[in-house]
Amino acid sequence: MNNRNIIVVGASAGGFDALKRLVNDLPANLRAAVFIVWHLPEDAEGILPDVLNRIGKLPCKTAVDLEPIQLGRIYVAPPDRHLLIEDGRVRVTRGPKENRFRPAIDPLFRSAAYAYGTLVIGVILSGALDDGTAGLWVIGQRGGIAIVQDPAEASIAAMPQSAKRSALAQNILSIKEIGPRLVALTREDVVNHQKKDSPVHINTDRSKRNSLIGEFTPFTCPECHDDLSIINEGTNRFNCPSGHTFSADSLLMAINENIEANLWNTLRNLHESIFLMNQMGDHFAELNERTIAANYFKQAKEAHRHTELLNRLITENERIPYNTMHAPIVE
Amino acid sequence: MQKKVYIVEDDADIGDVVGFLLTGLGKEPYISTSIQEFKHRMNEQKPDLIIVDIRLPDGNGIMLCNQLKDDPATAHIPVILMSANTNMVADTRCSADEIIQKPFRVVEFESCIMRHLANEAGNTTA
Repeated sequence: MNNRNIIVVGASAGGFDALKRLVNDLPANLRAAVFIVWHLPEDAEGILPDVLNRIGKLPCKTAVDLEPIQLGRIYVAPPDRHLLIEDGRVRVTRGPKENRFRPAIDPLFRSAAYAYGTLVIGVILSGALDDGTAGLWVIGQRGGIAIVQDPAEASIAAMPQSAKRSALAQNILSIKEIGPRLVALTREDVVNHQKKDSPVHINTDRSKRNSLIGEFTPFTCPECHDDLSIINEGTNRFNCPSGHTFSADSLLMAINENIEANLWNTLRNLHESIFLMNQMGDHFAELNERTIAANYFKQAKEAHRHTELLNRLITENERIPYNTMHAPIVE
Repeated sequence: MQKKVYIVEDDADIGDVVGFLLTGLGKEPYISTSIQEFKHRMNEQKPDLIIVDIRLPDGNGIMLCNQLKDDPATAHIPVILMSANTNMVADTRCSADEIIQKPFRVVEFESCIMRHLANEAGNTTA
């Protein structure tokens, strides 16, 4: 028999308050190791361990690749690296982004579930989009415990909302309840049954290409433009052979960002063509080639009309709030 | 009386972290997520220290620093600029009293804050 001794925590936008409270509530004699992935802009990452050391009773550090896992410690994912768990040790790798993040929550959760099965507790806190939902589902599938911060109290509700909806979350708790529940769960004895029939790959090596798993889709990877296949892990997960992985929401956001970038590119090209056609028109007008000149000016005018259409499209595209796609529709 | 520190930072999570560190130093942080919101707050009350991020949704942090230092009404208030790109700052006129490179170490950040607040107190007394 073992006790549950691997706690994995994922937070994103608005997650700082929740992380503060959670770490503050963990006792110094906690019989578990805690692993945290918090999405932050790259220029802000790396300060979380210093800050959490001011708050909590457990020592907190930036995780280092291959270090042994010690109970009673908090390991934080370093900037631009995935944090993974193997049997007895920590892995810190620069694998492909998942859900457009590195570090991402899903690979941490998935790796913990495969290494420690029923000994794992996964916690999803405040955040946008849905990173962590698929990973929490794998934790639940392999007998671990899934905990989600009550979306009603989270600063940003989308991530806990998604996890609550899709990930077999047994515990929807307020942040003040999560710490005490974790302590209680780590004191329970459990049998560590681990299934060996995993259909899911964890790609930690950029040099390796996976064979596509799941069914082919008509979509291409926004990162590398390779084919995407789809599998279901409580929620749909899209994978390319290089290992880039997307939830449906993060794929949609990436596609829409590509649309916007292409629209701006097209707009710039149109402005260039108008400028050139007007120059050509002037040139032929000077040569007294009035028909040719008129054709250039007419085409330039038509292209100008297209720029107005494109401007309107870009403005409308910017107004779509992808982060709130699951919110009720307000007429 | 607690010293007031205004923070102009559009990323709410970074603003929260900076606010948390300032509270730990016994200061009173006020976070604005845009220049417009910051100016509105400045019209109500002046702070003892201002921390400005370089990238803001409605303007540039360097220009805001210069405006604050060019204005006789605010020139005496220490201004700290937070930037991930110090080369960009080096190429531009920037009147900030100090530039903190992001990501920063907590201890360095705290000593920077305390140093400028001590200087400001000295200037006020003088």
